[in-house]
Amino acid sequence: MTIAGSFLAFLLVGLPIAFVLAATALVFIAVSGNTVLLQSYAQQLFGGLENYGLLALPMFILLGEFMNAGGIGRRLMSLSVALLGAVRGGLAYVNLVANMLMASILGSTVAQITIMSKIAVPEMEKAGYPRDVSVGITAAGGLLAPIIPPSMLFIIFGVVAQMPIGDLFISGIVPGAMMFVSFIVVIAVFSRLYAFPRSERLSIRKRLAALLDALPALAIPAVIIGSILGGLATPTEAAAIATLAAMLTGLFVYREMSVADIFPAFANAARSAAVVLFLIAAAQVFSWVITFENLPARVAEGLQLITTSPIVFLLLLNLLLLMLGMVTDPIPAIILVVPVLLPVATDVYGIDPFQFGVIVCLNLTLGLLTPPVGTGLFAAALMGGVKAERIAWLVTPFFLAVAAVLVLLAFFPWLATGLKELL
Amino acid sequence: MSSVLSEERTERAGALERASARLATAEWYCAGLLLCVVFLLLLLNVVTRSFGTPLIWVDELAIYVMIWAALIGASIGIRNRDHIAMTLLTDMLPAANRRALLIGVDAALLVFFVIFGVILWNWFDPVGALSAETLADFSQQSFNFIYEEPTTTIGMRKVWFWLILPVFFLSGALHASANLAARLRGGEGER
Repeated sequence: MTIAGSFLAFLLVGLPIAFVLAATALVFIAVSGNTVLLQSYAQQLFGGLENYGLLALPMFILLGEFMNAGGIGRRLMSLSVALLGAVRGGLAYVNLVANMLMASILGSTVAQITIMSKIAVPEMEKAGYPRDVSVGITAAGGLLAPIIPPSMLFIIFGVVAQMPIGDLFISGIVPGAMMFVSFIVVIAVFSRLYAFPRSERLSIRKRLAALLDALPALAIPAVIIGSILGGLATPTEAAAIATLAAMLTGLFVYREMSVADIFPAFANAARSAAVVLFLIAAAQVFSWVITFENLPARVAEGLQLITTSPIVFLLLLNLLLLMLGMVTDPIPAIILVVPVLLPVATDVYGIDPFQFGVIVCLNLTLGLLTPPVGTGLFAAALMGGVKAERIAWLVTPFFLAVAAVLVLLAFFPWLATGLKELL
Repeated sequence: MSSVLSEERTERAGALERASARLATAEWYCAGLLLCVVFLLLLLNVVTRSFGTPLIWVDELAIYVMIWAALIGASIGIRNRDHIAMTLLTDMLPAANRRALLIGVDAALLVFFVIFGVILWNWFDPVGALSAETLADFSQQSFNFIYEEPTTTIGMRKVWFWLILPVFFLSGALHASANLAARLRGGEGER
């Protein structure tokens, strides 16, 4: 009781979540009187990060920094324009396709929304799209980032759940494609509803030029996937290779970056990664202490009184995650939920851990666009100059599309696991 | 780099806050450099493996260098209040109460660092280690094997890498005190 109470109190007064976890662990040790644990406390904090998979995290953040500085996002947008013909709402689809391409390189919704707001929103506004709708579509497109591999959330889930990150990436491909298709349907409805303008037909020559210009940018996801599947590199090393490719492309091909931009990219990536890594380290200390409480077993007992059906469990899980996602960011939510509920899901309900992982990551991403705590929503509002409430309203249809995908995932595990078994 | 630090904050600040600002700049360079090393180590691994001469120590070293970068970056995060917190409740409070609460949170963070410092002092036990004949004697008498623990592949004692923890304690405590001082003076009420 004291422990749960101090945890909630620390959390609600606004102590940073990493320190909430680290301090609650101290409270637990004090209450239990097991002070010999203090001797290993600092070692556990350090040990929480001694994980090869975690190296992928700073690398993918670094890749994002170089993508942003190197003008790669803009090429992917132009390519998407070239790929599409003259259709009503053309640029809205272009936005989505560009987001899909970006998602295959980036792994973070907020990073993606930040970059795409700068590239796509002005283009759409110029072509006569309402600004708020353009920002809404861009924000929704960011939801693809954590599901289409590579994905930051999958990396963290893989580390917390001790599951292979490469396999998690593959499990995200089919659900990601389903999301993409469902978003196309939403945009088709939007096109009629908001009378989107028709895009112009580009000459073959212009299309070829855009394709040629985008080839080096397209090489980056190819490098990531190729080096992993070809056995040349681990997902972590693939991110390092892709970072090198992005750096060279920005420096020598697109020439939008100079040598002076290189070091700040490293330092800023280190700073962003550190916040996430420290949270994971603190969570490690917390879960090390909490194992003495055997929380999963107690939660499992309580849940079994409610339901014995895996499907009902997954639907309840989705509701719980939605609520949690509304008040916190996905990364702390994964850290809080997975150690407790994953063993319950696999051991009690016989749910496939990859199905569980995809559902958790996809669902928590939605929380990025929901008030009151929605980092992605606020990023989009800030970048686009549109009220957050308005964007939250405009992305609702996209939400329902994702919710439909989540329900399908709960009923059909092979949507997540099938491709992994095929490969 | 001015982008890292809010310079205007340091104008009418005391020595504590100026030291914290200077330290954060140094940390920014260190963290960037360490991430650079991680990046190069990973590439080195790919290259040596493809030539059929893999180096076994690279992965472990890359992990330790990442941890150094992470704890140094986490220390900058304390100064810049980058760490994710739940602000749902604090945002709803009226300004005066909110300020009191934020001062409390800063103070709590400092208390945490003090406890962390004590934990580290007991673990590293510098007095015990120095007064023992040899480090092996110290380990046997105290059952504290901090100075004996080896790394798996690097061929160094692990304590060299654990040294980042006291560094993190010192820098974190400095930033936390500076933040508290700034808050008490009435600055930084924004976040």
